Amino acid sequence: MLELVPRETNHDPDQESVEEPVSKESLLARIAGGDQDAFSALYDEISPRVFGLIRRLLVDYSQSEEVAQEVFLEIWQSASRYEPSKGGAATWILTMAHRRAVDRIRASQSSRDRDVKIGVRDYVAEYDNVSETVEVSIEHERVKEAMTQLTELQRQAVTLAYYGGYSHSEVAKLLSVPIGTVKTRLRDGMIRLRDELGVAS
Amino acid sequence: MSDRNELHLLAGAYALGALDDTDRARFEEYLLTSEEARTEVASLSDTAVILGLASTPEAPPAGLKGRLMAQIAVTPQLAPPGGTDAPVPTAVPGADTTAAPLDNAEPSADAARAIRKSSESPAQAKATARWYTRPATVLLAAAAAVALFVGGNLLGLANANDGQQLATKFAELTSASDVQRSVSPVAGGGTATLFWSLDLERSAVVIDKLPALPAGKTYQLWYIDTAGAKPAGTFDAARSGSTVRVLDGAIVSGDTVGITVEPSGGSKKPTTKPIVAIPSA
Repeated sequence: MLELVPRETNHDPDQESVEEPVSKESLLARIAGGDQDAFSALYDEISPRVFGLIRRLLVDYSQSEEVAQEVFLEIWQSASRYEPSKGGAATWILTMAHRRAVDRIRASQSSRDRDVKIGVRDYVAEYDNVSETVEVSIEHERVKEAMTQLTELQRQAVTLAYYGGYSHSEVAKLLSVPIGTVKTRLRDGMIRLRDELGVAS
Repeated sequence: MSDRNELHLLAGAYALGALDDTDRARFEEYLLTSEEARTEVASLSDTAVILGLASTPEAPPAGLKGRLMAQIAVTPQLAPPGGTDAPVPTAVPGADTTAAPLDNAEPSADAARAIRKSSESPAQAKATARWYTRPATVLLAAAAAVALFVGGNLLGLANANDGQQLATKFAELTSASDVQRSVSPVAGGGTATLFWSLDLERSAVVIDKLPALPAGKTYQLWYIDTAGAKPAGTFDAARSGSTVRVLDGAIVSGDTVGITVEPSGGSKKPTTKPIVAIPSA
């Protein structure tokens, strides 16, 4: 069931662009026309977000740099494919960054450390510690708060899938639960987060 | 029905990017058939993006932007889906500098022919409605650009004149802390991008869509200041992709870089009107 949420809690991932003189959406439109200066401006604006997310997934610094380079090259090449009607520019770019990072993880599957129990504890614990160490975004606080509304299993499954880049079948193995359970927990968890974060549905 | 219910449960995993290729393909097929699933996935994908925004922002490595700016200068773009017009490069600062005054500047019939050759036939225009250039060329150019800049592997540069040495010089230039760039349109179509570093006293041009010249002719680079034009090397157009050329000699603050068409071996002074002139200020 999709619930109506009060308007003031609606959150658009791209709303932060509203007050800027040049929106990321209009920069993308100019980039699609070959405007290198617009690309430069977009890079300045969003690269810390892109790199931060990729680093979260890959951890390794030089691999993260390579993937960030791939992402921005893809932005340059396919800016014309961005459709504003389907979502904001930050949504388009961060979705791309996440997918590229996950692809990189899956490609180097064999070399990845899969020490199950320790891995899970580290991952989940790491999430809680970030706020104490570095600059904290508003979204970080909101997500941290919303995460507390999830069951332990939902939270672990969502965290491993999104920030760990694990597939749903890997999450099932890591958490020692049936794959069907993981599917439903991922969906329940995301619906709960959506409603807690006030994402319009 | 139970199949559909089972598929619908994948919405969360899909939004999180947690499906393998097989399941993702199955789910995307299902998405085509269910408005409800599409709506749910859209909202869950937005939610996933907020998870992404919740990651701690981190400044990327300092050299990344310089490499990307150099890379995009040689990387073709996709045209809009289903569009009939290829994206048109927009006007750039310094765009009105095509005709810098030069000593003995005189239009050459060969240059004019060479430039006309670069304008596209209707059939080519149709092909480039999807790509700036042929798909195979695009992929090669992109692969070359990636090979050039990723992981210090400098092979695959479109212009093979100096191979490794050129690639190294170019990479050093575009990684310089004071690297600057300026874009100007080339007579006959396309753009030329000048990269320069006064610290390294080095400059390079990247020219897209440069037509090949007939036998007996060559492109020549010039450093131009108020005292006149100094030769900075001759070169041929790359067989495919963008032409990259590091200039001979040292760039001085305020120099304009020009390109003319000259007899093979080059000239001491420009004998034709430049096809492009790019100010470095």
